[in-house]
Amino acid sequence: MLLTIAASPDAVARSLDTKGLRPDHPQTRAEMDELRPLYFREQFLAVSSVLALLLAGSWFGVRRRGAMGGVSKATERVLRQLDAAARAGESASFFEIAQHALLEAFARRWRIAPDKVTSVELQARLGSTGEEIERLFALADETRYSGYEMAAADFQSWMVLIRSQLTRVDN
Amino acid sequence: MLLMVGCAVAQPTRYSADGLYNQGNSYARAGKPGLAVLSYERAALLAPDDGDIRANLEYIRASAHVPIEPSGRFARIAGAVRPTLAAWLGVVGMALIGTGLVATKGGLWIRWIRAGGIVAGAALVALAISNAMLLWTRMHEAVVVINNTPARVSPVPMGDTAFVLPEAETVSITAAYGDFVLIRTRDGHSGWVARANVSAVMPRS
Repeated sequence: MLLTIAASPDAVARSLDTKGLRPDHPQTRAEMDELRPLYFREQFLAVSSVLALLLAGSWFGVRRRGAMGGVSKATERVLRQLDAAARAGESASFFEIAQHALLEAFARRWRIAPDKVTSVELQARLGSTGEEIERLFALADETRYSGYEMAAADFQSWMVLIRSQLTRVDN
Repeated sequence: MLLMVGCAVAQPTRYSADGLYNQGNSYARAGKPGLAVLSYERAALLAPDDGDIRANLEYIRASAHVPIEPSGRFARIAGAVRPTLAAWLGVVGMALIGTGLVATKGGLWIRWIRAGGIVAGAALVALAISNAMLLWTRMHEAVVVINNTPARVSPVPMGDTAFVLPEAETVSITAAYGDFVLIRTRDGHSGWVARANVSAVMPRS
């Protein structure tokens, strides 16, 4: 059923040419409760606002993560451990964590087993950076067996190298 | 602000494009072009792509000697989609843009797909916004249902007549005061009209 719009009593009937009118339609389309378009209904505004907020929040989160270096939680944990070891001046622990994390990272990046990450592989894939990584691995062995202790400034320079390699895997 | 005008016209409880269209035809055959145009305008809100509604609307306006304003290309594109569909397309567009912005990983192909998704999403959102803007304008329109309706310079029955409106003319409502509404015609004239002489395209629910 539809429309019982009562004509205004003042609306005087006029003589209109209606010969060219297109014919009536069979009532096949669904009826609606109101003419107000979906855009301006509260339910739709609520749904689209929640969606917009969710997307804006996710985007903000992604950007924030990108600003922090775009690192995964696992990498963040490793970097925190390295930072703690550096602050405590524990060279052995620092190198052990760094070596393990880098081997895992390279293996994942190059899709090979960690024990296949050799010095040849490092130099072939990373060039001069590979040589620095090799030096880091050598220092790790040296520290493990000879009790080598590093200066605070050296920790920081190694941290820069390790961070750049680990975050490259994440991205 | 949505104005309720045209108190002589009872509001239906349910709406359908076909019912409104048929009602417009009935009013036209009964010699009531104002009410016919009102019904067609309402039907067009629900089914903007229906050629019969558009054709009869223009036919009755021509029969009643009311000027027909040609719609621009922008209005035709934005109004070609049904409002409900356009609204959901806008939501899909937002989701595409959001997914494209949030998904940061992947190879070259994935980046191309992301970029394509963002562009497509932006296009859908633009379509939805244009459609909503078009509807927003029409939500504030009304049809003159009484022939030779005086538009007065002030909202009082004895106010001087600024100009006279023909029945079936579509006007914009910009303000209300007492039993009068301030209308603006498509050619830019403004005046106060008795509420009973015009009926809003979008009735208050």
